Amino acid sequence: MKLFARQTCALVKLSFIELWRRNDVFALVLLGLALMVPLSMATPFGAAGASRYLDEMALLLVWGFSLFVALGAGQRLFPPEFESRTIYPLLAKPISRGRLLVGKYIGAVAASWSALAFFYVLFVASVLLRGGAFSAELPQAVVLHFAFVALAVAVSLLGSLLVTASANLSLSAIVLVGMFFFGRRIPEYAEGLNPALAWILKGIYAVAPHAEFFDMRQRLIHGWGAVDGIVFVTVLVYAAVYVSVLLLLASLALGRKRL
Amino acid sequence: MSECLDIVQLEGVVRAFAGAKAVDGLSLKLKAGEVMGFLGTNGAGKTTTIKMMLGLLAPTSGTVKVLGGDPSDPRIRAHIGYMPEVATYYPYLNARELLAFYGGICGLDAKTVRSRTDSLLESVGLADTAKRPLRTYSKGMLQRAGIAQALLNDPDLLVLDEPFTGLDPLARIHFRELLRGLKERGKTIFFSSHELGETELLCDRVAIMKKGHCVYQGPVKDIAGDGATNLERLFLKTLEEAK
Amino acid sequence: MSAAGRVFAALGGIALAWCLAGLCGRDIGRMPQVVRGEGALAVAFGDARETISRAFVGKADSYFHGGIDMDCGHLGHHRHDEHCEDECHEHDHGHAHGHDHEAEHETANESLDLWRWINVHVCAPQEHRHLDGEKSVELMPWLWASVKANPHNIEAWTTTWYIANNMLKDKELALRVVAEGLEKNPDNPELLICRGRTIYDRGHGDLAAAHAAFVAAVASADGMLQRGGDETDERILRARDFAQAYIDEIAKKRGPPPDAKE
Repeated sequence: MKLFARQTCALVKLSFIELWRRNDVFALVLLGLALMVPLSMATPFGAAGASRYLDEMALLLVWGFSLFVALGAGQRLFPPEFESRTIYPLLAKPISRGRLLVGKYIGAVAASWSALAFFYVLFVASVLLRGGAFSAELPQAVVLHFAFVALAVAVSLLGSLLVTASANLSLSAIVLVGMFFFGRRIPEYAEGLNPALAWILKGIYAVAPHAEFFDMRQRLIHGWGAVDGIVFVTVLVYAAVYVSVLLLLASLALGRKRL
Repeated sequence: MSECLDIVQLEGVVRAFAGAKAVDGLSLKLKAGEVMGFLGTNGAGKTTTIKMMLGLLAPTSGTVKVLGGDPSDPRIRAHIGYMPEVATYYPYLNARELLAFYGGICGLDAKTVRSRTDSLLESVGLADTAKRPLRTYSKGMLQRAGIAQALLNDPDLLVLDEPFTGLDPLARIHFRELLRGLKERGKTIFFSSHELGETELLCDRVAIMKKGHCVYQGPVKDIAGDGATNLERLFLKTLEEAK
Repeated sequence: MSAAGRVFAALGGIALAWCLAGLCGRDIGRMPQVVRGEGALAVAFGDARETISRAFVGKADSYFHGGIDMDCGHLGHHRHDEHCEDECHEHDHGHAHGHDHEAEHETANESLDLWRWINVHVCAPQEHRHLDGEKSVELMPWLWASVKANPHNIEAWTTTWYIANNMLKDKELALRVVAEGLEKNPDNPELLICRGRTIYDRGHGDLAAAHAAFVAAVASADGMLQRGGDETDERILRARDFAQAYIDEIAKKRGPPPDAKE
């Protein structure tokens, strides 16, 4: 247990150093500022006082950036190890492939969470600067967002062991963004289609990662209040089960990788 | 480790990839404190053998025992140090952070890692550049970082894949001295190389591979004469005979 | 990837493409008309501006309902085309959508679809809600974006006017919106009616100026109807009738002309 803890700490530290020294996060923050500052100064039709659109845009950026960071972190866990051949000295150390996978996953999630926390700090600061108030449901929304990031890292990690980097990033982004925006409407779309198409859509609805479950943005922006405790726990359980399945598949894929 | 114990024991090892045998019926023994040079042309099966010794690959048939156990067991690998032929270590880390990372993977505590890092960086000649990101290192410097990480867990068995590649003459001499020091401390060293001169200077025994078969095994002292030329002659002759 | 994996991925891709084609096919009949303009936006986005503009109106609509997509264009119903008091509109809508939400919850419970149950509880509201009063200023940025994307989206202009005039009660802002709209869409009867209504101010405003605006709206509508029929005919006809109703109302308020009294 002590060995696993030390190994995990080392892998977490590696992911942290890599994420923060790559400067991706700072580039994203600059991009966010470049978009948000002009928006915050706009007074549409000369009518001042609107602020929800700023919250909406800021949260959309936080979600987009967190997805970018999470997919990148998941993608960078194994392929670079194979390309640079560091996987050999790493697996020659007293660590099994399974532990390496879990440790690396935890590292990538922790690093992505740190970036997400940083984004939320900036978001809250921007709300407070505009004279806005802290919504009571923010902690719940942040926890669900953290769970989403954990899911996105797992999706990207599995993809990175199956397809090339560009294919993985494109497919993972399409699946997660697609589900984020259209996931809840899939049953609607399936109605009225021919049975074969409807069956395929329903299959996608059943197994695809439901990114939209974690999205409390509208509740936050429009002050709808917190989600029921039972629903909140169900979503977290969903994330945990989904991540476990993805990690199991990733461990099978890593086990089959020829060294 | 007991002097008479076989640190590495390979018995009739076969490893096939899609039907083609990369290693075919290899039997090899390496005693504690011995230094063995593993020679062969490109594609002879040296790296595959090393990967099996590290538990990275399972043999198709035959047995591989390292330090008395199965090398796929992480507890066995805790006593092995391995340096790959070419590795571009994590570009965003510096040498000190790299060793701290590998120390954590080996399960070493922070204090031990710190003290070993200082002495290892000193001994591989990276103490002055220890805070520079590894992406700014030359090939030879990365090779030295690789040597340092292989020695970090104070291994009983050191497996080196082409350790002299990319080293400048001064670094070669330095590295040779480092390996001699380890030998004197009773470490068992197994290394593959194309550098016949270095091999003859360092090794107790050599094994020569050709197309997956071990075509020669014997002590270096049996090769009478004047250094590199003799091993080179033996190498060429052995390969010629194996045709 | 293994050969089996590639075959599986290819089949998956074909299936997905088939699904998307099926979904898109349903929307082809609703493709927008060509959006006029030669600016950078027109070059970059072309007809997509029409869709983007409508999407922004949709976004404003969802804001009106507390961030919930209603898919039925509420704001459109709140526009000037129903000559009714604000309270009456809001009452009607609250009532209608209250039923929608209940139905949604019932479906989620009845079908035992866990995913839908989660979605309904995470994303959908537990009550029907509208933005009102000063809070409706939150709709303005989306409507502004909508008219920037397509300055000829009359629905966006009139909706903006409605919010300024009836919800924010800011006559100056309402007139500014209409003026801007008329600059992009000269003599548009619907915008002229908006101007007239603001000036009329439910009978408390400048009746002569309001009358002039409604007369201009009728004249503009007649001119458009004479120029040829298209799918906007019904809308223009309705606007014309609406303007005429106001002209009649103003005439009543003014009383009979002097020669009629004689």
